[in-house]
Amino acid sequence: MATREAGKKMIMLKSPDGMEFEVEEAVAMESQTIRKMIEDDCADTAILIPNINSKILSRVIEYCNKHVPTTGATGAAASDTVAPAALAEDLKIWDAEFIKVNRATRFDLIQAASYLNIKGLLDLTSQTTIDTISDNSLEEIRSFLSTKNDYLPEEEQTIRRENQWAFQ
Amino acid sequence: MPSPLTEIPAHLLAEIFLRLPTTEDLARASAACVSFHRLATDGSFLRSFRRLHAPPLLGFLDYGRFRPALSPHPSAPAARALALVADFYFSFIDSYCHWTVQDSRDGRVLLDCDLRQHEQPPVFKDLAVCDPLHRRYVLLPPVPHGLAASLEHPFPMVSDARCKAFLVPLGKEEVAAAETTFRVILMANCKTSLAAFVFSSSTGQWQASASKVNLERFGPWQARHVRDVMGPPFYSQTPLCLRLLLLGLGGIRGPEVALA
Repeated sequence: MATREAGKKMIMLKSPDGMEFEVEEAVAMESQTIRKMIEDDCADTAILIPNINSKILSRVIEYCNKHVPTTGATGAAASDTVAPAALAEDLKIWDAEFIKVNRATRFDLIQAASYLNIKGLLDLTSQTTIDTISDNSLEEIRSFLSTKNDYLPEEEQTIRRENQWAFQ
Repeated sequence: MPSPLTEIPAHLLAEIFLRLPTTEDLARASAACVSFHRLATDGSFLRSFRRLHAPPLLGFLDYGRFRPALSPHPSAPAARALALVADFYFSFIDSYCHWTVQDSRDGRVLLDCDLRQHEQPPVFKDLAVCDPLHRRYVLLPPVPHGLAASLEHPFPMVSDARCKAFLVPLGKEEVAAAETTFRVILMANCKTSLAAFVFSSSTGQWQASASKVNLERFGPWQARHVRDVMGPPFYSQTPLCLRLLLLGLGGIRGPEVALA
């Protein structure tokens, strides 16, 4: 949990299951949704984040915490000691570790990233999903995205014939 | 065993599908189930998808023949599919003319009408713009006499060899929006000046372009030069092509449907 530092404005985020997270305003503002609330002055006490449970919300905050210095406008001089390229590489490795979660958690993260409008997290979670399904067979795509083949047999035949070029 | 996951909401699925690397991947995913197919063929989704994925080059039109991209070019399978379903003989155009390809880009082909034997060459040939995949076309109206006459006196001064028509490339947003509008520029190379007329499908009219160019100052290569700047003729997969390939081929009947 974030500790209060001098001169840093803190924001309280509440999950629907009653947990409260105190985060730096700059971290919270990684979310464009929260940024808008803060800018519109709707965030004087605590912000309730609906539909995102504490487990997912804490992961989202973890992500924002990690990503805030590189994208934040304040630009704390981390780059004085570490080259930007090395920093980016480091973040990439961190992201890869971060996204090693089960399928259900990943979809929860996609949902949270979409609601909170955190582009980097949405890119990361969606891209990981895409990497899993591209080049896979239809059956694998269906099973991963938890859907069923609900085409009528003749419909499926037509679709397969028309999209034959994509299966070559 | 039932899946522990409930169905993914459509807007999240859209976020995921937008990141599919190629149109092939999108077409494959759309074959998984009805709701995926619905998403992959949805107009607003496709507009976003096109903004992120430039249409791939599928081949060239060369002396009236379609030359599809060949393996190992990544577009080869799609190009083969296009070659099978599109009509590059333009037989769907209801006209007495025999057409010759002048230009092609963004899935559209600009044609001009070959002269019949012993026919007096007209100042401007008849022009048509067509979409060989959807078998749709527009016959362009003739350049208004008043406009043509403003070129130079005595009139006519323009011979076939000195008159060139080409399609104006679409902007990125226009491609993304699968715009069915198009513009044609007709360069008329007269004895002492170069004039350009622009046809816009949204107005259905020809207009003289802003200024005439004085050839004595710029030299006779101007028209060719402008043409080169506009890029070589090519046939790229249009947004409409993608949509059709995904939607299926049921909708391409009806050669009478005009583009605009």
